[in-house]
Amino acid sequence: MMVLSKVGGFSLLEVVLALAIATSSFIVAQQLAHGLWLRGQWWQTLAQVSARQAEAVSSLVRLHAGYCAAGLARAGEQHWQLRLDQGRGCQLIDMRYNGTKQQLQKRRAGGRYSAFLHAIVDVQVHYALALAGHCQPHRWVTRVAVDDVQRVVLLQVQVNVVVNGVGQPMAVPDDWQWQANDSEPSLQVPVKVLIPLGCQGHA
Amino acid sequence: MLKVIRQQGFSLLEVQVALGLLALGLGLASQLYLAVGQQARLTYERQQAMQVLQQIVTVLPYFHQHVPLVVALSESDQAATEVGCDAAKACSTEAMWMHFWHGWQTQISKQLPAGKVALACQPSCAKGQQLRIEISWGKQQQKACTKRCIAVEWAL
Repeated sequence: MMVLSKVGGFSLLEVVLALAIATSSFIVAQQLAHGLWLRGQWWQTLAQVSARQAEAVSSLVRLHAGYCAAGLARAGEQHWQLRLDQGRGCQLIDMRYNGTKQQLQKRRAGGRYSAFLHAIVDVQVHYALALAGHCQPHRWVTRVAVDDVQRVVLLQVQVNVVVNGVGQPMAVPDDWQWQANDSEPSLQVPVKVLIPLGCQGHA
Repeated sequence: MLKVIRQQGFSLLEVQVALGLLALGLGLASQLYLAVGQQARLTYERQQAMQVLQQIVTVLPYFHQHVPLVVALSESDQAATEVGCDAAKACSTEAMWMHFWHGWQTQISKQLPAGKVALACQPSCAKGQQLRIEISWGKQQQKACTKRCIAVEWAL
């Protein structure tokens, strides 16, 4: 019996060329995939930052929305006391920054402090004072004597929110801080909230 | 006896078509991925702009009579308006307003690519007229405030 078998094959040149094309295609695909992965990480970071910023802003604005006449009762460095309308008249609410816990904390007068905002650092509180008899802010200060506290017309709370476990940022704005030293990399992003306190006790 | 062995396989055309379909699928998937990512970025940018807009609207009631000061300035003059009202320094109402304005411009330009904030009175800055506050960023293809732009109107 005679078997005529035609087996096609590639020449050495074809094999080398095919390998070269396959290798370069693989490298290009790997680079593209890596680029897409990095972009994905960055977008995820932006989404996390957006959520943390929105949480900080809305929490502060919502809390201060219900202030009573003469909204502030005390105005110190990194702590202040508000008069809030709680439905049964005005209640005193203390706010303070606890640096060791990285929290902005709140309590009702006489009560215990509980966390109001988590994972925040570098809290800066400024008060805008108006001149007696006026409503326009004319000076920013970091603390106000009790006698002058009714002249505070704006409260500015600036914090850095900490976003943990984020990937390497692609294009970090100037005022963001990326910390890769810790076991869990983190990003600190500033948030500034301006809260109007009306204009009480003036002409 | 002669036995011919025939090897079965795909034709070149079939392989090319399959590769083409695969490339098309991968391209569509990556386009979808990029579109979702761009949306996340746009959402972030809009949020930054909204935060500044919220600050402007909070502060405007204190300074509404000084709005024309900013409206009258050219873009280059606006960039040089920092008057230093930080750190307990007492300032006039006009200076404080310009200080706020400079702060918003700095914030917008830091956080948004080619970010700009503008005020415009329609038709004048007299009491009762409308003030338009517009924050735009990125490359604006048209004059209308659309994708990378937010605006509100505020009664003076």
